[in-house]
Amino acid sequence: MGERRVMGEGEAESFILALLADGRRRTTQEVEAATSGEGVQCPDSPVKFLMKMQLRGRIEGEMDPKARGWVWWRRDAVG
Amino acid sequence: MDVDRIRSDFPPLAAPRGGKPLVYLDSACMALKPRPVIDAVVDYYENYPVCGERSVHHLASKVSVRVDEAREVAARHFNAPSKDEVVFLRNTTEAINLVAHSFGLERGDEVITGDKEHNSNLAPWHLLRKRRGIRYTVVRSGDDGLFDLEALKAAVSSKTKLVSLTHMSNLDGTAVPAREAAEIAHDAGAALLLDGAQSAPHEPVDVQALGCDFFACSVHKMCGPTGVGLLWGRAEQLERMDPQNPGGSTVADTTYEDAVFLGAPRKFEGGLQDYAGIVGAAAAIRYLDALGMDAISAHVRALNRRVTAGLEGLPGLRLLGPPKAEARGAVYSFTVDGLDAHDIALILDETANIAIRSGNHCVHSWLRAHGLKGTARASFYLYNTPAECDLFVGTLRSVVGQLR
Repeated sequence: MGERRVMGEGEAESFILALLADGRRRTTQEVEAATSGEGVQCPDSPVKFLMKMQLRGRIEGEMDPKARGWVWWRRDAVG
Repeated sequence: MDVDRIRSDFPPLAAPRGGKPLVYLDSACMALKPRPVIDAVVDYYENYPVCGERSVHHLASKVSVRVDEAREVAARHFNAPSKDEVVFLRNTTEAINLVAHSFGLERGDEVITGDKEHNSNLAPWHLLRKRRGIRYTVVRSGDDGLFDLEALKAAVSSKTKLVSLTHMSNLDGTAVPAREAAEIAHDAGAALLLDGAQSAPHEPVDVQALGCDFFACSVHKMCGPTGVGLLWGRAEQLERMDPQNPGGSTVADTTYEDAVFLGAPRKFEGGLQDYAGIVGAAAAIRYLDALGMDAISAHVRALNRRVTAGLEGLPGLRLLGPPKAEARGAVYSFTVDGLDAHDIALILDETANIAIRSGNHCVHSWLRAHGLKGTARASFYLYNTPAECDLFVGTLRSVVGQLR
């Protein structure tokens, strides 16, 4: 079982907001791949952490047939 | 069962989101709470929110009486010989851990579980394996995905001290033949612990008929308040077990030199208890008893049959467990090729206010062994209707059609 550094809540939120800042919609798997690539992981499972961010209004989410699943994005993205 | 009348007892079912009523298919995680349970909890907090078994004023005495009554209600429900064999805890996890750490397992002793165990019936044994050097053996299911009694028979030995099995799997709803497992365990001189988290909510459970030595369950899955579970244990087993949470209420007397512990169940219930939860638990069990466990069991199985038939043939859908709904209790667990289980759950939630579970269901071990990342899981309970099942089936078919 691999080990990645577990980010704190604030750090994880900043990471995800920075990831989504380019305006591109990403699946949960793409978010997880991005954290994995940096050797870190969300404090909770990625989908649960992303859902919490959505409920707090930090990001949005919806079904995307093109992505064949659920995607996340930032409403205030600059990209 | 008059399901429409039952549904009126559950406030969340009358609170639509975006004009869509809640379709709650996640009772295997936690059940909704009916008004009598809510009222019992509120009554405690409004009228006698004090500690029990300590002070002698009338409020405290009322709490003590209510706790005794709750224990009696639970004992009758599970056909326990005595209410003193019922220990109130936080959940099934705590109940299993109490047995794990108090049973008296030593280096070289063996514990056997099945291969579909919830982490709560796996992690404690791994911890004891690492800390105390016990042997932990996993008995694999048969090719049909069902519990293999012959494999259990082959696995038990003179070293086996405890067989600990999920009575009904939270992963796929399949049941372990408990009476037969008890016989095999006892023939080897071992005890049987049943994880009843998934059976207790909708199946009649008679601990004497089952022949087990311990039965653990979560009342919050039985329409009870959060954070209440219980352990039933045979008197002779509980008698020889040490408390894991010694402190106030667990002792008959203490000096600077010694502590004399009470008997079961009090020695296992250290500190102030969740009295609101316990009185709510009694209300929940009474609620289920009034409906009848046989009726609840028949209801959830009928719903499972409906969903199973409705989703048959859906391209890409893979059902976990036996194809016949009768063998899967109240659970319909599935994957869809090419689609993420969490995405399916999010989409059902967002588009149709249908709540299901997704992910590894705390059964990482089985999923890893079978190369699965996770599944989506619908679970049915006494307040679900055929119309809700049809909505779930129709919405899922539509979503899969759009995404695949």
